[in-house]
Amino acid sequence: MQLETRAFGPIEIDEEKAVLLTDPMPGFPGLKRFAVLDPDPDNPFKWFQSLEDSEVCFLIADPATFFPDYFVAVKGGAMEDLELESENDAVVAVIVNLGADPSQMTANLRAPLVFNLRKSLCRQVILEDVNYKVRTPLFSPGS
Amino acid sequence: MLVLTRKIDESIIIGDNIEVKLLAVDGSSIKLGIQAPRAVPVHRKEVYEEIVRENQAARTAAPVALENLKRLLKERK
Repeated sequence: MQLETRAFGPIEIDEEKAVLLTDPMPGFPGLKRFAVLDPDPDNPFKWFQSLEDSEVCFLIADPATFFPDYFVAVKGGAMEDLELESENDAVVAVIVNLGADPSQMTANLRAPLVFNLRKSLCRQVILEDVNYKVRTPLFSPGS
Repeated sequence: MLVLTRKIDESIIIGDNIEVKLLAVDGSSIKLGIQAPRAVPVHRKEVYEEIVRENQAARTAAPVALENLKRLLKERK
């Protein structure tokens, strides 16, 4: 399908790459179909583009690149929702807030996206661990 | 808003399968037990609202080239 996006102009999206949110993301009710735009497999950053509202797009990242100790415990409800049989099948991405200066960008570790890529399902999960902050710097200040 | 008075160990039922039970009262704090189907997410409202705000803030307004971010990552690492 062809999608007209504000960020990238017209883009061609492979229907097979579309994922269905089992629950809308908080703040974006009604948007259930997204696609992960993944032009470069070696790049930990990707786009998460709504297929229903061309103006809604998030920058997402592979947390392992930035936070090697980051651990997402997928609870029973989310496991069921995502039709996950094993936690090992879950793929986790964090939403990145670019802000004004990319060197200061932050990731939302409190509410990651959890994917079951085999079933093309996804859900934003709010973790109970209060140590995970919604604005965690991707780069430590001294680096 | 529907307002109901409950005593400790009394509960309310929402729909067919959500139960909210008053477990304990300590000054201005009350402890609630919530039994809901596993697919129904239950959150403290302020946490949920924080995620709403952050999602809205993170929504990307201007496109950046992912290439540039990858380069930035290399410089920083």
